[in-house]
Amino acid sequence: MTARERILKRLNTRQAQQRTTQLETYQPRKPEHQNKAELIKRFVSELELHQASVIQISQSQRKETLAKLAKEKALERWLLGYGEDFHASIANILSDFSNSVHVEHFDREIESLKDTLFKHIDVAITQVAAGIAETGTLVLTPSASEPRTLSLIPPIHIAIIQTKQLVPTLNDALKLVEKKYQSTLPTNVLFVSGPSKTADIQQTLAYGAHGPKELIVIIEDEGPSNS
Amino acid sequence: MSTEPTFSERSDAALKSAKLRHSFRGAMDFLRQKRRDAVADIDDLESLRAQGERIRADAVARLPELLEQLESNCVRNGINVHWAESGTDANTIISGIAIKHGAKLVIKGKSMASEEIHLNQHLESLGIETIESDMGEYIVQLDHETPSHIIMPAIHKSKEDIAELFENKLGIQCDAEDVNGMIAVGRQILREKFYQADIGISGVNFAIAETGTLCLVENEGNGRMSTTVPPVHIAIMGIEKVIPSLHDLAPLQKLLTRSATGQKITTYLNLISRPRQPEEKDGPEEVHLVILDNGRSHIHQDDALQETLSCIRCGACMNHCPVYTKIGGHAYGSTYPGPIGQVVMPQIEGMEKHGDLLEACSLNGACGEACPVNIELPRLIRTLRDRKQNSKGRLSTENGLWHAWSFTNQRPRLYRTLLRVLRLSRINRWMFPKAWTRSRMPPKPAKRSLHEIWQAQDKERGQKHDGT
Repeated sequence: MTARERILKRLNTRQAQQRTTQLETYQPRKPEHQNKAELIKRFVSELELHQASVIQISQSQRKETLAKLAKEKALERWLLGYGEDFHASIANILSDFSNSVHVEHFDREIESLKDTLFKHIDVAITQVAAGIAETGTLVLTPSASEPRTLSLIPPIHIAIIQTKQLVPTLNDALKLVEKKYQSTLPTNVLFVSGPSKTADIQQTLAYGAHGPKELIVIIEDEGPSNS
Repeated sequence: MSTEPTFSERSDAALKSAKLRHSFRGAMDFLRQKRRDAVADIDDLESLRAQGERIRADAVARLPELLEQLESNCVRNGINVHWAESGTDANTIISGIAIKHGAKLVIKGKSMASEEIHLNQHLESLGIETIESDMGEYIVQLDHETPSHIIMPAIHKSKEDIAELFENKLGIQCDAEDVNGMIAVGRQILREKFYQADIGISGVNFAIAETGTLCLVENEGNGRMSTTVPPVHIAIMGIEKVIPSLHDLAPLQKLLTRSATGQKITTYLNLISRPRQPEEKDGPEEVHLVILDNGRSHIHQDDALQETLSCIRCGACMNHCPVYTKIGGHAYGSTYPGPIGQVVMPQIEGMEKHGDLLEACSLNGACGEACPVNIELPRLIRTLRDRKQNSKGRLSTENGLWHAWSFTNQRPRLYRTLLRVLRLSRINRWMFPKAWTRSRMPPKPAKRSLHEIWQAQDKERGQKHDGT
């Protein structure tokens, strides 16, 4: 008998013991933030609590917003994904910035990009799959065109989210994932709720432990610009 | 004869250390307050706990079926699944993978299961450098210690301790007040390790059977680094960590993070389902899951103690335990300290080795109240204490005393006679063993027994005394 067989045999010696616990069907209280404006408000406040920076704009303001960020934080070396319209659009925007701005595309395997990724990138910019208002969380499903390490290794991560991508709770987000992928989930599904942090030194909060030190979330409204 | 200090000696030493007591007091107060704040926003906390309890109890009840489903889906996804009966087996499997890849450097995300099996020592003995990447674990490793808490490993260290440690071991001057600076030092050193590592090892918070997915929660990002950058990822998980479906994750995640660190959600929640796919640009080329038994299947067979396996390793029980708060994690001398440690350790490493931990309980019940999935820890502790007691043999002094007490209490006349004798003789300190008199006064019998007072009162009121 293999280890597997021995272990399973021991686990099968009991009839399924259902401890009679009162099955309480958990009904999460309907969150107050159901309409779009409330979702946005909650999302922003939660993210800010986690020390992420949040910028709310209309889609037409994307270029000037990125320009401002590039200038304020001296962001020269940018890393983007590759292959989708989004990437072409961003690359286009960035190419109009000063000559010192350099754009790298994650268009090849990490092995040939590792040094650059770890040492020569100031900021990475990604899209998201969804946003969770209740906890100020970005849902990312990294892919061939937007690899996982984009939102992990560079010291600053800029995420662009559309207001229509917001859902109220983690439950809702998981339902979305379940609906879209059934039981065949993507390689990696990531829930990001702020910049990296730790309280391991005498319970004192510090940011930028191993992941990005800064998370900047740009919320774009597809409609007319919101005040 | 063992020269290892006993649990009793270790707790004594811990109690005498004002510094340790101060560190733990501060840390426990902080964690308890955070949890209180975090659960305040849940209207129906009890309902959530009941659901968490049900999901865990159901998973434990259906463990073999869920594990087979998990394995099948992981394999379908391209994850290699290994079964390890003992810690030694797990170590052999893991080092086997490392050797096959000619690994020189292993970087670890946080895993209590790996501490349980002493994985680091095993890999180091084979000449494979093994570095902890969680800041707290890294600090503890630098100082050649083990974690003193399952969530905050360096909780027993002050800022000053850590600054001194960095200076002594890394040769880097640090200002104890500049926590950001010290974290930056850790970040820089460990970043280099992530870059170079041949293998990344992690634990698993929950594994989803239906989808073949490993779920990891963290704040620092070292878990993501360890499971994404190195070309090989090995995850080690206790058999009990499996849950049925993706939607079961929501209530459990809510309970885990609030209980562990008082957060609604951790910075990162990472769901890993497969290794790097052909068109993908990063991620490990190989992912391995080591399913660890190490005594858990025996616990499963024990009806009275099976509930032990519902544990989600949040640390709430130890944060609320008055004993743990005073003596800290190291005094327990075990991988898992606090109430869950008292229940798990005697079962997986034997009553002989860890039975004394069961004495570290004042039977106050706070652990059971704090447990987010309603594990009846007090009952489990009492059951184990009972078993330990019964295994002692009828002739032991303690058993003898209890029998004498029980004999006397069932014979009222004998009892009353003895009471009178006791009152007449004077109780002196010398009549009691040192273990009693070291911190207690000898008891003083009252002038009149309760029965006598009661009898007198009834007489006063003209009532018939019914003092049977």
